[in-house]
Amino acid sequence: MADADRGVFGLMGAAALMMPATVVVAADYLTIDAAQKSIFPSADSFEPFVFAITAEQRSTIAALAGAQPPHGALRVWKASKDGTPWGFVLLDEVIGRSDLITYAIGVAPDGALTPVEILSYRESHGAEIRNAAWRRQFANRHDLSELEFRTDIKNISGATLSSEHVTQGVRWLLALWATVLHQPPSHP
Amino acid sequence: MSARTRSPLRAVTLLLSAGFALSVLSACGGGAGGGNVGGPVAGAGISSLAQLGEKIFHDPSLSASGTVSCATCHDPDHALASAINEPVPVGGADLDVPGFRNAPSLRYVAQTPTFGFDDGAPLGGFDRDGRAASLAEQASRPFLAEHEMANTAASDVSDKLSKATYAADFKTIFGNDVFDQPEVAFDRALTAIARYEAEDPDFAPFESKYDYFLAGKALLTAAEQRGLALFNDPLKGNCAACHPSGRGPNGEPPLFTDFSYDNLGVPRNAAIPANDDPTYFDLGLCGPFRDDLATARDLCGAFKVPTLRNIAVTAPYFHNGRFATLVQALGFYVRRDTNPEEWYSIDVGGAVHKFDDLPLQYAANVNVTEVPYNRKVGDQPALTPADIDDVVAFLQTLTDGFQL
Amino acid sequence: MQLIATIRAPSLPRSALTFAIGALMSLPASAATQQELEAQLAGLAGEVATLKSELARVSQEQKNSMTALAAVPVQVIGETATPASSAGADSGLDFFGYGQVDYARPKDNPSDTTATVSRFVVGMSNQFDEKTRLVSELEIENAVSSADDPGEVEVEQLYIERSFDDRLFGKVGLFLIPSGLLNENHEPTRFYGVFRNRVETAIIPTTWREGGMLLQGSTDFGLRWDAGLTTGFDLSKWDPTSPEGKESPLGSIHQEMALAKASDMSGVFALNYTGIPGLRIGASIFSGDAAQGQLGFDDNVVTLWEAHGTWTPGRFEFAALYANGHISNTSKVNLTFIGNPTLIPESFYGWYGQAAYNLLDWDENSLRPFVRFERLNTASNYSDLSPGLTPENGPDQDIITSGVNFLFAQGVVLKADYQHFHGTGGSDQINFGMGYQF
Repeated sequence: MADADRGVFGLMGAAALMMPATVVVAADYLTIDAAQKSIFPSADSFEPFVFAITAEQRSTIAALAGAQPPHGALRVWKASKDGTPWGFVLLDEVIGRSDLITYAIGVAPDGALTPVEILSYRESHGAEIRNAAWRRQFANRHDLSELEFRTDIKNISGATLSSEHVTQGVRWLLALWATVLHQPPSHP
Repeated sequence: MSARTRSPLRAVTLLLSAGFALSVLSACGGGAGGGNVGGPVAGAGISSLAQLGEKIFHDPSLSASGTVSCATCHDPDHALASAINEPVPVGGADLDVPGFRNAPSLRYVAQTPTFGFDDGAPLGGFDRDGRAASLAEQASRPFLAEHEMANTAASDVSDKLSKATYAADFKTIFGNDVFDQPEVAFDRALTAIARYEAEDPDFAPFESKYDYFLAGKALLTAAEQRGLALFNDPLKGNCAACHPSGRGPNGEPPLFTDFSYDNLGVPRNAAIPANDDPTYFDLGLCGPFRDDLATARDLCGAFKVPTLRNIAVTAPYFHNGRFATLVQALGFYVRRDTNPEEWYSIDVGGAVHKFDDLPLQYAANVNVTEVPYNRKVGDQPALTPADIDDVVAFLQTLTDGFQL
Repeated sequence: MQLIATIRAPSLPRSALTFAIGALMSLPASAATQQELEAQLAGLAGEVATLKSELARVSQEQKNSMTALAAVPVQVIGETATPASSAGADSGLDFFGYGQVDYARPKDNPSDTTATVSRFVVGMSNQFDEKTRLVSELEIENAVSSADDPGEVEVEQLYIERSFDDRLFGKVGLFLIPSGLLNENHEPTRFYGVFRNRVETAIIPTTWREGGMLLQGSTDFGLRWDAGLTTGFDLSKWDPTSPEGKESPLGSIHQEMALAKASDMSGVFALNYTGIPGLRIGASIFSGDAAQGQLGFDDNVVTLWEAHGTWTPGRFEFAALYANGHISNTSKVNLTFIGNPTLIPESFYGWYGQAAYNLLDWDENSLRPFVRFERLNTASNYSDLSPGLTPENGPDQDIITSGVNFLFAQGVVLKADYQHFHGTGGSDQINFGMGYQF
């Protein structure tokens, strides 16, 4: 999966078709509502956001994001406060060691990341990625160059695969945001 | 070259087979005895077949002389070894035919694995040369041997059995017409003896001081401890290499033999009449009593490693009964190569004739590589006389019948 | 190729539709709240519309490519659809594995050079429901296992794991003991050097697993705790005639759940703090009677405790560990062993410090030199026996290992190192190895 092009997941994930049942259960630990609120506490509305990805965009995202673990479902909501766009909430799944981790992250309109929220972790091995301090490492990073595993985002000894895969997943989400979700006025 | 090559695999196989023998034994119900420490648990009593075997075992009327039974050379009062401290027993109709080998203790005999080769090395079997495949087969030989009970044929034994006091028991178990076929009757008698040897707790009591010590219920004296250490130490006695002293992998008590074969070059014993003939040699595995390995020249002179349980009360020692005391036997082990003149005959020219109970061409079969034999004249023996006393003290803890 | 790709492409939306229908049908069976269901349905409604348009788009792409005009990588679509389902979306079954192939050449005795498939491990996990999963690992050591070959086949892990809530997992079955840095993370991509370090082989008997029950909890501030009740060691397995007990005291009496004697159970407790990113510190203690009710053995408590830490400032990686083992009441058993080469030690210990540096890092490749110093003593003390019979304490052994791990392709590693042994009389050694994990 090192060179996986995730285009199709983004596409289909946006349609939330891959594993809706899992998404529902993922809410067992941290509900989607709670995750959204935790990511953008000030926002008052989270609208499901439907979008399509072109093949060209897929390649761009893949090139930007770099190596990827296998992913599960993807869902996106557009957050707003009093009608003002407040950013996107992206919910994604990546393989940890052998099972899926459901996590979410927010991207503010200026591209700043929020901390990662872990909605579901299904295997005890590597459960350390739930650590608040580790998840906070993502906050306020804007650029993919600030999202290098080990140097920017520290490894968790004993949970290397989980922490590496979530970091890689976040890189893909940020690349998605930059390529598809974010449409700077200067480049229509 | 030594007849033995040692492999860990073989040791494991051995211990397993010993363990298996033990479990079979306990599964069969064991005997009435108590007191056994860590061995198979004795049941309510031995089977009626074994009880019949016991009677046969002790019946001198089954011999030509009318005075020799199995128990004559395997005396329950002497750990099932011979009561007389002579190298070889005498037998025959008039008790004037000398035997060839020292009668071994039958204690723990049922734990012997069947004869075979492991990694090319011979292992197990009954008799000192392993030629009997089973207890029953072993039991047949003394009945018919000229120098033992000296019956002329199976029918001879069958006749005597039919007149024995327990003939009725015999018929009850084997059928009223059992004596109509003498070969069958003889065979049934052997089966009964084998059952007795396998079932009766007196054949495997596991109640030595050492057993109590292993079970944590008795302490060894300082001399016994030192002796055990010397016994185990691979650089000192190295005795445990062939006479393992530790429990088996499943906790089985040690049998103090690995059932392997070794050629020790034991000196010739002039007290055996057969040795008057200078061309006669008892070569163990390769003959003259065993005939299937006659061409295996490298095995000539090798005898089965015996158990050391009850060794202190089963003198004399070695297959030819050459040594009357343990001090002598141990002295031979450690001084055989450093002081051969103490053990072997001297040639006309004054030279020591080392390994004088082997034809010259088989002298190379003697084990000279392992401790304590890996020495030469002028070297220090592996054990001092004081060490030997300690090892003897330890060996005395292997005698069954210890009372707390 | 292009033709094949375009034929495969249209099947994607169809299968996606099937998923959607399956998902809808499965909804009532799940434990979703009404609110969640509504959210779900709302999402699905819009998403089916999207799917329709996507179907149209893919059809158009197909036409385009059939006219040989499109540079659209539709083949990628067809390929990547497969991992999506194998990622566990519609089946709880998952396969994983790791392996290690090694070559070791002692400098002074080249005739002792060996090359072996050290490990080939296949793992299977199955998610029974959202909270319950099976984890299993089957290991073949040294390639061929038969009566005449040196290999072994082992069930290394076999447990059911249940998550009770987001902070608490329970395990039951055969699982790895949370001791040290390597035991739970022993795959070749996770450690430096061709071979696992000696301390976590000889003192901590990695890969060390026991049967029983274990609870694992974690907190948001980064503290993980483990508490378990498990099978333990069997001191009656001690073979005083074999050197094995000197190589690894606990490794020679571990049971690995192969008809383990289990009349005495052991307890394990471990704490690990990872609350500061890049830092991990932890400690564990395992203790239990190894007498297992065997005749002649009494109150032989085996206790192993250790403390460890890792720190990754910048491109550096530091690791350190100290482990100490103790076996109580060894005198009585040792008296029955006196004179034999290997008596039971009362204590044994080891520690190491390791530094690695991420020297070169490009794409998915990483070249990491490292150096490690280890000191261990597998028999640092014997309890007193009679005068003259107590064995001398074993020697401290020092091992310096320096080498390089080259990681690439997310889960493959090539390794080379040089080991210098001191105090054991062993020859220096050059090792090469290949490993992978997926």
